Amino acid sequence: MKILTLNCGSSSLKYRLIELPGERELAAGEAQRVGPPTAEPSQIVYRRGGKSGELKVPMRDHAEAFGEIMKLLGAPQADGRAGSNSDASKSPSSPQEDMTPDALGHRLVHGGSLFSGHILATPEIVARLDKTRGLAPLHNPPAIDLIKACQQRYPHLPQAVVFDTAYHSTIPGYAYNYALPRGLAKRLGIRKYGFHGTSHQFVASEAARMLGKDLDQLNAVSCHLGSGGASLCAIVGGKSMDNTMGFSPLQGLIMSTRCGDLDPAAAMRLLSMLVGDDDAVEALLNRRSGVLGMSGASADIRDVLAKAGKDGPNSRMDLTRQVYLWRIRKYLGSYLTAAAPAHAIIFTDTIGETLPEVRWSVCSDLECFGVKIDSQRNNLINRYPADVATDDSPVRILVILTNEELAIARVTYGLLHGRRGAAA
Amino acid sequence: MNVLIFQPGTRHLRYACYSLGKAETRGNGLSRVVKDYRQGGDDQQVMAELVSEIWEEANKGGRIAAIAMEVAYGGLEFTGPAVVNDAVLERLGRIAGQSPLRLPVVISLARACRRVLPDVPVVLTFQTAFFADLPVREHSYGVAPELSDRLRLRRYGYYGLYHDSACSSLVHQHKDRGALRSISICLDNQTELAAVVGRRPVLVTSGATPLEGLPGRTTAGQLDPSIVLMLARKLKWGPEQINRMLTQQSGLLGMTGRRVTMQTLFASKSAAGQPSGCGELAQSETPPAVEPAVPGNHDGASPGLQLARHVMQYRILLACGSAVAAMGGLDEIVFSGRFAQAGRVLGPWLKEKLSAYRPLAAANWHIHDHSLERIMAELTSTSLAKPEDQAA
Repeated sequence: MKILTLNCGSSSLKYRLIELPGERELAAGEAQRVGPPTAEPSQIVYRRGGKSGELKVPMRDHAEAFGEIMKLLGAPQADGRAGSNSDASKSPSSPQEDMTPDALGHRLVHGGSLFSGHILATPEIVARLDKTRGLAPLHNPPAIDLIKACQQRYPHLPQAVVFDTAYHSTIPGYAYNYALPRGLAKRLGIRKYGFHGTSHQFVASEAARMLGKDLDQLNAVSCHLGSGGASLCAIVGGKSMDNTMGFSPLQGLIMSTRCGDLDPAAAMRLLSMLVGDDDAVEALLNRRSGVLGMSGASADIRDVLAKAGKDGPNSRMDLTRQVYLWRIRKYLGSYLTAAAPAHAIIFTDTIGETLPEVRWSVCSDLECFGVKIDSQRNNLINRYPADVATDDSPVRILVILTNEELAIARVTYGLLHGRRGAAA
Repeated sequence: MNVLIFQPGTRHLRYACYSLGKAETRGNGLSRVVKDYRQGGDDQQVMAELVSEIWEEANKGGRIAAIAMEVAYGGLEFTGPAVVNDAVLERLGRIAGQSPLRLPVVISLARACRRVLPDVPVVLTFQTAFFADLPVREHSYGVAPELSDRLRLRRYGYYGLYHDSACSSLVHQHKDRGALRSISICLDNQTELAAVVGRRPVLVTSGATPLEGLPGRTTAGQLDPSIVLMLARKLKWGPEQINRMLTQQSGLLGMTGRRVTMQTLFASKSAAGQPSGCGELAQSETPPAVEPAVPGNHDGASPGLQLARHVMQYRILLACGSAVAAMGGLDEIVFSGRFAQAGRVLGPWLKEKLSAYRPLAAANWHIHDHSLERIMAELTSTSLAKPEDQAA
């Protein structure tokens, strides 16, 4: 079965075509600058059959972007015409393999309390999805509009909706409740939702496999440290028990441009200072804080780490580095306790996968938790997944490449397989 | 030595007498609250008359040798107790804007004491002093330094007097053990946890204000900052309204709908008898649709009370985990504060949870049941005995 995964950004659409159950990637790419015309033209950067290329084509919205992606894959068009794309077909080694998807898997960032699990999109489900638009105003609306467009153009194609928040639906009440008046919290849906669930779930499965455990026997702390967003997840019996992000992705760790945890009084003070302009305060805390705000130079912690080494101790870069790493370490301690006894710490995504300094800083001197990191293994990872703990470390330290698209494809396959099984 | 203790709040003034050298007995001796003590008239005159009345009353129980005043905030200016003199009052005046609700009251009361009782030493004891030297990685937030400076965003602890007393006591008891790694948990109107190595704090749960951190009787504690923005956006609430809800209607009150303390939350028979851990709680709850499934209501406690208990247990456990990571280990846990006795329930539970990691199993828990009055009186006595330390 060929599953096309779709990941909407505000002006982009990432896709990957994966064949299951073998998990072979057939094609992948990203439609960029989707929307109103910009200084640079819209394009699709793609790879297929071992070759890569760029296709410049106007895409006014995500539905058009999807149409162009389907053309690029050579899939039949919505109007029944055979699909082809002149640029791709001109490639001398254009594969003849049929790239028509059998199903679509959509990533949706926020399902709120309405969707506690991944689901196949029926007309009724799509109508309910509209109620989640406001939960993630930059991400949910384009994804929902795309699902509707796909349903219209390709009504025969089953579509799965895979929520970032769904994995965290198992977070218990004592962890997801804030200490607020219950009536108000319930009325406004104020609770911790958690994010990056698809990634945390994926690496948890991979970790269980590496350790030779059933997933429901795994206790772990998953550290999804991206160059943008980041979160930790406490995992007990394979299930999410807590996540450092909360009601929104703003809570928790210090991220590229997000402040993470902040005294609520500070947010109120900012509202006062900016005369109640909540959009301005949100922009400040979400887009001009974090690593960018603290360093004053870059939103990427890799740049900060490199410069901190040159600028020396107590420089602005060094302080940014210290505060960034300290916040991760404290949460790691929290979640090692919540998931006790943990079998593994898992590092994933850009920073977690590629920066030994970060792993070393947060894991060293934690023998009290049974965590012993091996300096050599940590510094020299030749292949993934890797285990960078010492041989005698009770808690393994795993570095696993996240693959949210594969996770989405697996979920889609599972939903359809189960459904077909039920029908048979 | 008899010490008159003042605890000036924004509306009410609490005062008590403490006799050093006598066995600690809570509730004995003078202890009163003057409500709305700053109403009407010339502030200095009102304060002077109040001090005179209290002084006369206090001396009936024995000659008062000194006055100790609790100060909630001393910023970075005051790193220990200070005997009031002109220089100290000037320093307080310079930082008054950093705590506009509290410090002007303290200054006014201190001036009144000097005016009415010029020969009686007044010692200021600061709750934040213990945390003035928090490491920069702990006291800093993830915002631009310019914004941090403008908002005076820096993490403090607000129960430093309890933490200092409790950890000093532990250090004294375990003199032979080198730099002791302690988790100090103050159970008071707010619960505050500190990780302390020797006598130096390296982590604290409170923030730039006491609002951040663990939930209190009426305070929300840690919160996604975007919730504040959502309330402004969706309900059109201003900062004052949001502040009122977060500081006066949340916490244990918000979760239970009742005025409960940490003592009442953990003092029930069932709470003492059920060493429930996170694992047990997790297994008993099914994934919630809208409202959580509440674990078995064994003692007839309301769902709100059960939830509040579990939330507090869990948040304290997470904070302990952070503290252990901050210190690279753990030797002792100590409870202090007005509701320190709740540690008899929390202590064994925390020890059981932390013992999942063998190196942490050796940590013991203690109750440091010294009243704030006693702590302040002892600090006052020490300060007055060392003239060179009189301006900290």
